[in-house]
Amino acid sequence: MNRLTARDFSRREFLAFSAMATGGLVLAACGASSSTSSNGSLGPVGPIESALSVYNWDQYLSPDTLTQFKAKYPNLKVDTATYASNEDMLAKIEAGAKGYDVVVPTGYMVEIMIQKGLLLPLDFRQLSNFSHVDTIFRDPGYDPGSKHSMPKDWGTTGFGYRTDKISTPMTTWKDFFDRASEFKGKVSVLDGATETVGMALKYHGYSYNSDKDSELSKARDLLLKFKPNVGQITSSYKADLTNANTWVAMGWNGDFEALKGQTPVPPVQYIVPKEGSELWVDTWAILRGAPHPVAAHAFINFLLDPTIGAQEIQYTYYAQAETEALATIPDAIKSDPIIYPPASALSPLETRKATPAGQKARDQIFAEFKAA
Amino acid sequence: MVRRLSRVNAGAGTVLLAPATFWYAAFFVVPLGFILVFSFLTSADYGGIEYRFNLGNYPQLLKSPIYLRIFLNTMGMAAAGTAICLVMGFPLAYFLATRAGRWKNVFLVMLIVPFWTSFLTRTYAWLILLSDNGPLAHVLRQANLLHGDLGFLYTYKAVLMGIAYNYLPLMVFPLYVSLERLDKRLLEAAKDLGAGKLQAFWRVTVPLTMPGILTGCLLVFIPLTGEYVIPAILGGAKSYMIGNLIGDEFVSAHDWAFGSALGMAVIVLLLVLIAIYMRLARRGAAAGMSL
Repeated sequence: MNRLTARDFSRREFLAFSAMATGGLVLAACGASSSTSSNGSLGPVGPIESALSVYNWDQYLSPDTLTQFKAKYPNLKVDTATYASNEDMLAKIEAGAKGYDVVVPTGYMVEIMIQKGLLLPLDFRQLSNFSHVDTIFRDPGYDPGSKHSMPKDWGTTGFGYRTDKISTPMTTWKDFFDRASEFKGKVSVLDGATETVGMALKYHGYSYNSDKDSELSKARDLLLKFKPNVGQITSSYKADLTNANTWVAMGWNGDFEALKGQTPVPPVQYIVPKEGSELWVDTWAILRGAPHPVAAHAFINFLLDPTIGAQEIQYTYYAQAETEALATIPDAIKSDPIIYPPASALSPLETRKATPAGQKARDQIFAEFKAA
Repeated sequence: MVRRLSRVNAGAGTVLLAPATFWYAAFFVVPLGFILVFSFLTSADYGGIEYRFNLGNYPQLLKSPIYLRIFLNTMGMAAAGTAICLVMGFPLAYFLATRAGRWKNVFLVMLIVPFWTSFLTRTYAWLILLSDNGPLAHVLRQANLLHGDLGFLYTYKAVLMGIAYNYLPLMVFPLYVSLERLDKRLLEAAKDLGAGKLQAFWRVTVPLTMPGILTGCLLVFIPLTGEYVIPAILGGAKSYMIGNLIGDEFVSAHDWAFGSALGMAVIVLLLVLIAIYMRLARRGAAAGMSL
C-alpha cells in the first residue's frame, strides 16, 4: 500500500491532484491492487449470478455503458432504480428495502453506512481495475483502505443561473441568497439538508461542517428569510433550467455542464461561489446482504476501466477518479475549468464530514425550511 | 330449522369475510400498531428506531408553530379542493342525470377514460401544460392575453388545478347516482304547490340528494388530507402538506418517531372531523325528513 495516499482526502492533496490532472500529466498507477485488501480469509469467488440490481442517482450512468456491460455478460439481467438524495437512499435501505446490490453513496454517506454495517467489504480479487484508480482516491478519510467503496467521480456543489434572465453576474452565496427577490419563485435549492443548510453556513463564512448551535441557528434564520422566494426544492433541476421555469438553481457542476450537450444550448452559467462550497466524491459500493455480490463486483470493476470512465464523463460531465481516463476524453471536457477546476477554485472547498448531532440539526432546520 | 340455517349463514359469512379481514389485519391494523408504538419511542441517529420509551414526540408537534400551520394549510387545501369539486361537479352531475339523454353513457365513459392512464403520468402532464413556456402560455401569448410569465407552475394555484382535475370524478359519480334516483314527480309536486325553479331546487333537489353530496365530499376530502403527489409535483416549494411532511420525516430527516406521531395526529384529527360531520349529516337528514 502506498503511504503517500490521502488519509483524509485533504484539500491540499486534492489541489495537487487537480493540478496534475489539468496539466494532462498521467499518474503512474501504483501499488498492486490485491495488496490493499486484507481479504485473505475470503473463500473462493463463486460463479457470477444471473441478475444485478443497481440503485443509483438519476441520469448518473451512461446508457452506452449499460449496453456494453450487458453485452459482456449476456446472461445477466440488470435492473436499475434511482434516488434523489443520499438520505433518501439510506432511508429506503434502512427501512428494509431488499434486492439492491450496488449503491452510489457520497463520501460522507459511505462513512455513515459503514458505521451502520450496511456495506459489504469489497473483495479486491474481483476488482483488478482498482490499479487504475489515482492514488489520491485510495484510502480516503471516509473509507480507510477503500475497503467498502470505489470512487465513481467527483465534483463541486455550487449554483447555475440563466444569463438571459439575470444580467448582473453572480459570483457568491451572497448573490444567491440576498438577490433572491430578483428571481422570486424562480430559484431552486437541492433537496438535501446537507447541501442547503451547508450553503447557508458558507454564506456566513462558517465551515460547511459546523455543528455549533449559534452558527447553525444563523443558517436557519437565513434560510427562513430566503424561503418565500424559493420556487422548488429539488435535485432534478435540469429540465426546469432548460425551460426557464427556473432561473437560478443550486446544484452540482456536471449537471450544468451536461446542459451544453443539448440543442439549443440553454444560456446557463455555473459558478463555485467565492465563499466556498462543497467538494465531493461519489462512490460505488455493495450492500451487505446484496443478492448478487459477484455480479456487483463485476459491474464495479467494469466501471473502473479507464475507457469506460472516459465514456461516462461524456454522459455525466463529472470528473473521473482515474487520470488514465483523460487520454481518451475530448479536449473540450478535459480543459473545461468547471469539470476540472483550477487549483485556485478548489482552495475554498470542503468535503462533508458527518457527525450525528450535526446531521440531526441539519435535518431539523431543513424540515422547518421546507414547511415554512 | 331457522337456527340451523343461521348457523350455515354464519359459517358462510366467516368464509366470505376471511380474506378481507386477514388483509386488513395484516396490512392495515398491524402497520398502524407499529406506527402507534413508534410514536412513543426514540429515533436512532440517521434513521431507525431505538426501543427507548419517549413521550416527547407529541409535544414536539406544538413546539414550533410551523407544524400547526402545516395542519391548517392542509385542512384548508382539502376544504378548498372539496368546494371546487362540488361547485364544478354538481352542475355536471345534474346535466348527466337530467339533460344528457342518449349521450349519457358516452359522457359517463368520458369521465372514466382519464383513469385508464396512470395518475402520476396525468399529473406530470399538468406540469408541462402549466410550464412558463408550455402550451397554455403559448396559446395565451398568441391571443395577446398574456405578457411575461404564466406564473402558475409551482404555486398553490397549480395544486388546486391539479386537485380539481384529479378528484372531480370522485365527486361526480355519487352526485350523479343520487340525482338519477331523484323522483321527478316530487319536483312536479313542488311546482304545483307554487314553488319557483330555484325554490324547488333548494328545498327539494338539494335535501334529497344530500346523501350523494355528503358521500362525494367525504370521498374527496379524506384522501385530500393525505395528498402527497400533487403538491410535490405541481406545488414546488410553495405547498407543503401533512403528507409531504410525514414522508420527509421518515425519508430525509431520519426521524421515524416524530413521523409516526404526526401520522397518529392526522388519524385522530380526521376521526374527530368525520364524527362531527356524521353528526351534522344525521341531524340534516332528520331535518330533511321532517320537512
